[in-house]
Amino acid sequence: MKQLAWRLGHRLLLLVGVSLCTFVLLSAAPGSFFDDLKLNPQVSPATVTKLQAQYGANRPLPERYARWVESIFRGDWGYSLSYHRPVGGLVWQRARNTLLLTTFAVLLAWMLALPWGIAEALYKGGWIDRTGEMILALLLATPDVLFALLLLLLAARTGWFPTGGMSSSEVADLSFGSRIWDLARHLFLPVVALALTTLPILALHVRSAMIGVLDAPFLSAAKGHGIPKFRLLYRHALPVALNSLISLFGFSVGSLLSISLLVEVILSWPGLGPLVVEAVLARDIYVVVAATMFSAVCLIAGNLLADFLLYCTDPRIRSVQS
Amino acid sequence: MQTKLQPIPAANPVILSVRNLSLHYFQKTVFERRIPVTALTNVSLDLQRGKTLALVGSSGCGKSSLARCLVLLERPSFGEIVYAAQNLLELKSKELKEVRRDIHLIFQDSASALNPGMTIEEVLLEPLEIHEPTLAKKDRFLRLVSACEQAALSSKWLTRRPSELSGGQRQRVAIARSLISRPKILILDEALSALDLSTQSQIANLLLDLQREHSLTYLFITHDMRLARMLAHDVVVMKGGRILDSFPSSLLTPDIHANPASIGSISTAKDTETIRLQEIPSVNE
Amino acid sequence: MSIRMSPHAKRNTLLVLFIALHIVVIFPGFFSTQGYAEQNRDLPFSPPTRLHFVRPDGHFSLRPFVYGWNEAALDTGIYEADRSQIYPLQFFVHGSPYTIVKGINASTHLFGVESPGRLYLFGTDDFGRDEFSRMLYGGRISILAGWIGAAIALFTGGIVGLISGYTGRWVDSVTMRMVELFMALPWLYLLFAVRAILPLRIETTDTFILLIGVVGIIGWARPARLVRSMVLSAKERNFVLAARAMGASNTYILRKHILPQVYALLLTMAAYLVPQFILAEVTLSFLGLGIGEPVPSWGTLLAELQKYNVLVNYWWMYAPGIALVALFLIYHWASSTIQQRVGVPLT
Repeated sequence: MKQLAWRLGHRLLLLVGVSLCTFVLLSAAPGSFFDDLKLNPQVSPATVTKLQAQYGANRPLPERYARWVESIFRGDWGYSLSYHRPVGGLVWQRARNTLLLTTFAVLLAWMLALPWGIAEALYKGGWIDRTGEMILALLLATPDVLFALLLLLLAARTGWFPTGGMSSSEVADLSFGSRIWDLARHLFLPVVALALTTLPILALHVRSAMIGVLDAPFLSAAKGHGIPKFRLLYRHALPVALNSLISLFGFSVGSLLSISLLVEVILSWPGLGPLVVEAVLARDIYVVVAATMFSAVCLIAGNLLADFLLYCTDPRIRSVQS
Repeated sequence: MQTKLQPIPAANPVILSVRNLSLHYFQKTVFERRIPVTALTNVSLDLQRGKTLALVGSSGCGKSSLARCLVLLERPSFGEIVYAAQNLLELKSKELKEVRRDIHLIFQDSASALNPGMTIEEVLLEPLEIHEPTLAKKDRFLRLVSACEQAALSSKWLTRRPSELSGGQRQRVAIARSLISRPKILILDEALSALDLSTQSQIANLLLDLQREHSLTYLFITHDMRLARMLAHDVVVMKGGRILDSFPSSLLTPDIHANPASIGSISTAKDTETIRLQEIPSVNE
Repeated sequence: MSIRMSPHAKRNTLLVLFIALHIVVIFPGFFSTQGYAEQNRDLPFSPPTRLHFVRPDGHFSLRPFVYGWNEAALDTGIYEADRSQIYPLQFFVHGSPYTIVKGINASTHLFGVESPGRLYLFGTDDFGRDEFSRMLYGGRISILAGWIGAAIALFTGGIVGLISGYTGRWVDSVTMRMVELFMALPWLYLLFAVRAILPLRIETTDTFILLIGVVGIIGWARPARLVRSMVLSAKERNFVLAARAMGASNTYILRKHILPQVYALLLTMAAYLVPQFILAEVTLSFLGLGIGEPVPSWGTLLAELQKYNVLVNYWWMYAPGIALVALFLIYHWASSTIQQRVGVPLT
């Protein structure tokens, strides 16, 4: 347990480093929101100067960072100059939408990858394995851009699914059940696109983890004892393979906020992706920093989760303590 | 550190002398804590020219640490290693390089001691590349052939890679690699322990022949008393980083199993003269 | 793969394909039929021109030809062939000039038809620009970006990893903390953050190279960590200790024992990193953050598909996507072949 606490502290320190890095990086941007604003003929120079002073944009870097950190602890992430809203609320809302999408997608991907990988490992070399590998190679080679575009085409041609967005325009008038159905229809395409993107890597990892276990001597010994195949798989083989898959799972969880950027942009899903892209184009620093911090936190949390799960499931790690 | 030593006459039977060697270091654990480890405490021994000294002890007693110190892979915290009237620990790296040709270490695991990506020929020529990079190709070839002959290594192995050879053959390569620099002292760190019994005898005989021919000095580190008795003239026992006892190998009786812990009882028993001296011919006499 | 070929034949075919693909995109001027910026406002979104072998009078012609290509009626977008005009396909035809490298120009194209005939192998885009030519030029940009980015990432990461692993002690600790820091940042967001620093418009090729350079540098962390752990383990191997005991200098040990293995590791990583950086460039260009008009990149070509009518009606505009899939398949095969041959595990 002490080890976990130490790791948590280590990661928090990492988070501080990340925030510093991101902030410095973005403050180095030569253009800023105010430059574009100055070019706007409708905004007077006096207003620009006033805005700059108000947001402390002219202060030296360390002071800006310190003020930013202090304000974060107060829950204030800054103000988005292009959306005219506090950054915290904006980013959090978009992050929730992204999480809705990615959680379903990652769950779907894992639910497909586990049996796929296990089946391939069990029938290694057979036609199931070879066909499966070919399909996975094709899926792996297809970028998420293409998946999203093709699914969008499907929606446009058949009309079975809405071509983007998170909700239809009449959603406020619908009953609760209809609202859920509407959401599901809108979720379908992005979830499938994202799941197809992550599936091949997961399946290949599951396959190689299972093969590693199935070849191990301890399993042959267990089989020699006469343990039935099913039980062999689930009580003996899978738990050991799970060990190496846990870090992969941690990484999956960690990437929940960053993995769906392109899919969201193409399918107009109102998540973090489109927000960050627009913020980069508009030089809206605080939004980019907040979004990056959120996803870094997610990544670190995913790693911590993996550490925790490994601690719970792998008795070897626990015995090192004593 | 000690004062400068007096020059020792060349006919001195002691070729290398270890005096009061101590080694402390900090071991880093997984959690970044540092545990102080004392590997050697006040170790002193002498290597007699042309003879074999067996260094026995159970694992973890500091045998390998001592071996590494002797070839200067580790820097002792205290003490001296005296060779050719010089304290090796005080030498500059250039002078040290010359000394390194004379003292060689043969590892227990022959596979890891040879670079798997190199051919045997490249492996054998490595000492020449390090010490005599300007040597003419013809001379290099002559030295290579001579080393192979001495180690009874067939020339058809020269183009192979270490993974294609057996353990015994690899140890021959390791020995040949040392021979090519014409060493004076060989430190054999459990060099025979990973081999099967018949190969052990073969290599042991090779070592005996080489010692006779070239008047080589061996420090034979082992936990196998049978081999110690066969190869060594003197025995030194280590435990917990210290020298427990030293005595000539003729005192080793066949009663002794491979467990060096019993040596302790022998040396104490020696004082009370209750050892049974039963001669049993060794395998090759 | 279930294609019936001996493993050797299969491997050689794929190798030839790999090299041919890269040659084509290195010299897009020669292999294309037009320049990438040549517009033909009369023929927007025209489908690919068909090659015919049978003349209108029924004769079979060994040399394929195209008919004249016109819009059926003004602004309808429907195209039909004008059978009165016949343009045979020619090789090594004289066409629009292009630059091979800075300063050397040429105007011979591998194949084409004489004007006013038009050969649009992959149709045209909104401005009547030949998609096929744009795909070749775009391929050059995207693939070059992949290689440059990967090279820079491997170079910076490799050197840092080498120094860190070999020197050890505090240098190693500090470096590893930095690696952890960089790996705690999601790669795509880091990419965007870095992109935000650079000027918004990428006009010239030089600025583009700068962009890719920076993108490459931020990818230093993973190679550094892998190289460092390899160097650490190699450093402790008995054959290195033996060499050291024999008096070898650090330079000798690095050169003879450690670097060869590092090269093998870098090669394995390259096969994996190049597609990743190609995808990064395509992503950036797709979102309008990559190279600017009129220089095409597969990302900008694919971005056209975000328009509804293009997505639904003009199937030939999907060609860059298919090309990407084919490219990644080939790289995937190359990567697994290299891993088999070199035998360095990539965890």
